Amino acid sequence: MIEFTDLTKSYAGRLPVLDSVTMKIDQGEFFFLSGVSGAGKTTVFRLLLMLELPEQGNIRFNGADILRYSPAQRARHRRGIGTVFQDQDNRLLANESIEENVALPLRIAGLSGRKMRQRMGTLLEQVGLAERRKELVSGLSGGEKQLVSIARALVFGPRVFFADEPTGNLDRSMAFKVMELLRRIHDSGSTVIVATHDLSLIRSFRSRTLLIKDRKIQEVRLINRAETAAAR
Amino acid sequence: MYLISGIPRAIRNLRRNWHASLNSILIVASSLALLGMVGLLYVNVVHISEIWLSNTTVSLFLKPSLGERQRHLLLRRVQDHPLVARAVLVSPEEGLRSLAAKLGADNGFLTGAEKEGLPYTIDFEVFVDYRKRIGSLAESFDKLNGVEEVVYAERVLGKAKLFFDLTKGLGVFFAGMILISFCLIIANAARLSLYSRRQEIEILHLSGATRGYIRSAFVVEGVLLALIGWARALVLVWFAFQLVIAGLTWNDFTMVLKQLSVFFPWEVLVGALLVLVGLGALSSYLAVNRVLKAIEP
Repeated sequence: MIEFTDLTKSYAGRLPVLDSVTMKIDQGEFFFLSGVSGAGKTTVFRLLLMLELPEQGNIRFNGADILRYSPAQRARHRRGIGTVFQDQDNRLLANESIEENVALPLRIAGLSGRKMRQRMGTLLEQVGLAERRKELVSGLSGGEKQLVSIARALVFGPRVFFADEPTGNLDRSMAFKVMELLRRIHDSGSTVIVATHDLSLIRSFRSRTLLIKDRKIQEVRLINRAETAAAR
Repeated sequence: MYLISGIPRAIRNLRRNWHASLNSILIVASSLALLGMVGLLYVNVVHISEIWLSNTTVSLFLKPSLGERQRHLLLRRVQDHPLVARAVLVSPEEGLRSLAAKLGADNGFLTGAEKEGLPYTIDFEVFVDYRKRIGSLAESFDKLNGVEEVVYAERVLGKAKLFFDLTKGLGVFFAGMILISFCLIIANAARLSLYSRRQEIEILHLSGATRGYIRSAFVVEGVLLALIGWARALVLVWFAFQLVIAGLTWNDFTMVLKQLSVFFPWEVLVGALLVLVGLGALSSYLAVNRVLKAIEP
């Protein structure tokens, strides 16, 4: 479903973040992308979302070479991918209500009226914020903001769901709630990719894990302490 | 469709950044008011000169040495000309009476004026269809024996040609400068607005917004700035015009100017609005497009 071939990405004046990386993700997988802070996990997401372009290599999504997409095709491509980031303060419209934030992609897609309200209602029920839909996002806790982001990311029923450090700033119970939601999204048939450096979280899920280390991606099984220590 | 959906977003953005928006509106309005005042001066110069030029009367000032027979022979010659509609011989007495009547209450200084000081004149009118040939006709009469001087509106206006050319030149120069600065102000406002909302733009990108969708709100913002700036400038120019008109009471000449002065015709106002709205939209479009291309690879 998603294929990176010989992909290199660097930022101005710095060593490459990713150097000739090749990886493949199949439809319906739940897997982790791990590595230390600054290893390039977010860069992988940004490349897949076409918010960055690689210096070399190919990215295929459902068989299509997305690097050849026109700006309009890129916009449609992004609608098929749900994204959740760690720093929700920068990813939500703070001065808008919960429902306005969730409705944003629907408005962009040209939906309005009853259809939009129905879809919004279903999603807010799903994340447990239906009763608080009129509240401003600026007044929510970090975990609640994460739930709003998840609701917004699910608007178009995405086939792929990216979560970048989704539990990074959350307490244990909220982190559990968020991970449960991600599991449900996976159960509904979506491919879920979670970027995290929280190795205990990875161990608890026992899913396939790709580790970004020294600008390369390698597959690892983080089951026991020795493997965890090696990954560090 | 994008433009319609851009209207509420643009209004919300203007309200959210009301301080910066107000600054942009004030600068745009001041520039346009300046342009409006120069334009209004030009419109009035053209209007008044057109009224003057529409006068098809020519006066031939005759030499004092001419006898009555020669004056009537000249009159007959003028009357027989195919372009002349009507011609009369005006004696110095009639000339004096006519001048006194034209001056009305201010004719006091004519008291005691010697009728001998005025020459005989032949005043004639050209058929309206031939008014463009008034200059060449006047020149041909000027060469006639017994004619001292030919006076007609175009010749008088010719002496003021430098003033008209200067007004026109300054008008075009100012208009060009102000329209360029107008475009730069709008483009700058759009660029600043976009930079201050970079996070929001990224959220829109992630939510699947196309460049057209993102751009539309900024283009509408440019149009709204142009529209509000135009309206404010119109009010300013109108008040300035009323103030100047109210002050034109020094003498008969300024009173005539007061009578003849006009404000912009509605066609000009609508035309200016359309041009400004177009320029506002285009400036925002180009500025935002450039930044969006830089943000999104």
